[in-house]
Amino acid sequence: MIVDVNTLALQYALGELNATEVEAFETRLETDQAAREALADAVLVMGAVRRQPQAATRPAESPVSISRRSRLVAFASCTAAGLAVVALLKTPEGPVLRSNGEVPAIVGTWSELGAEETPLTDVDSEFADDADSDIPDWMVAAVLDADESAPGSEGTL
Amino acid sequence: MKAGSVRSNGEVEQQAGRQQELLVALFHEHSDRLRGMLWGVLRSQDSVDDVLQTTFTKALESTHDVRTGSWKAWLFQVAYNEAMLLRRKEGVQQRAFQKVIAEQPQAHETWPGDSLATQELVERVGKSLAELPPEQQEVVRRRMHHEQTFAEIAADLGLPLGTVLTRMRLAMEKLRKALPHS
Repeated sequence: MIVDVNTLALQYALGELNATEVEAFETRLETDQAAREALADAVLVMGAVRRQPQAATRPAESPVSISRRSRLVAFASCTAAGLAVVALLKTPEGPVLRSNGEVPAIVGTWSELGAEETPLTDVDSEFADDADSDIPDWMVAAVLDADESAPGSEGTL
Repeated sequence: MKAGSVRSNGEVEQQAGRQQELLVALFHEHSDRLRGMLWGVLRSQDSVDDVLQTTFTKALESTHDVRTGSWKAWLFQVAYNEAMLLRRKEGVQQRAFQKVIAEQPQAHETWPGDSLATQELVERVGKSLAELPPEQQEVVRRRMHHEQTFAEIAADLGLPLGTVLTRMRLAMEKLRKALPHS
């Protein structure tokens, strides 16, 4: 791929050239005034860009990261829904208060899952298989936190 | 005072004055871009200042030797040569230099934005940046604010590396127009 001198200069300034490319570009700088000026302009422009307020320059979230977060949230919801279904199946008469403490135990489990904070959503057929997964909620939360704190990280679920 | 080849004190002073004016004018016109180039090569503000001073000292000594229209190229040539000489003197080999840059966790945070980019330039670049197409803006911001390499940006956006580089090139063409000499 042929790269123009301005892009080369930018990559050189950003430290993205390998050793061979650096040597070639620095050889070029010895005699090529256009390359020297390209390097100067790249440094000046990028310095000015870096001084822009970041709040106004937040890039749009990539479709990959949005999808990943949505999938994790949906997965957490499915897990909670799945546990609720299991609990209901174990009580065929419905959620009737019993003195043996079974319902309080179920309610306790439900509250631990944070059901009030995790509204049930329609199970997307794409995640139907995930509802049977045994990945714990703490792991899901950890992944969500890692995803939010590391924008643009490679890899997908 | 003998006439002929010996110049009067007045003439010497006049000549010195013209040289100083010339140097001041050259400094005002070219020092920002010289600093930019030197920073790209040296990555140290102290080294940039040292080399810049050396360059203009040599310019003062060479006012009779350089043609009027050739000063810009001369200054850049001398500055680059002095920068490479300084790097060799400091014992930083090319591979080690790049390794040092790669290992410095704050390498990308030491851009000379504060010292090189004037507030006027920052505002003009900001205006140009806001006028870029969204896809070009995203590449620029991811690279400069979020420290992603072009390869990482390409992987994250699901685009070929060439596409990302093209968007950056097109963005830079527009942003360079904000520079005073463009």
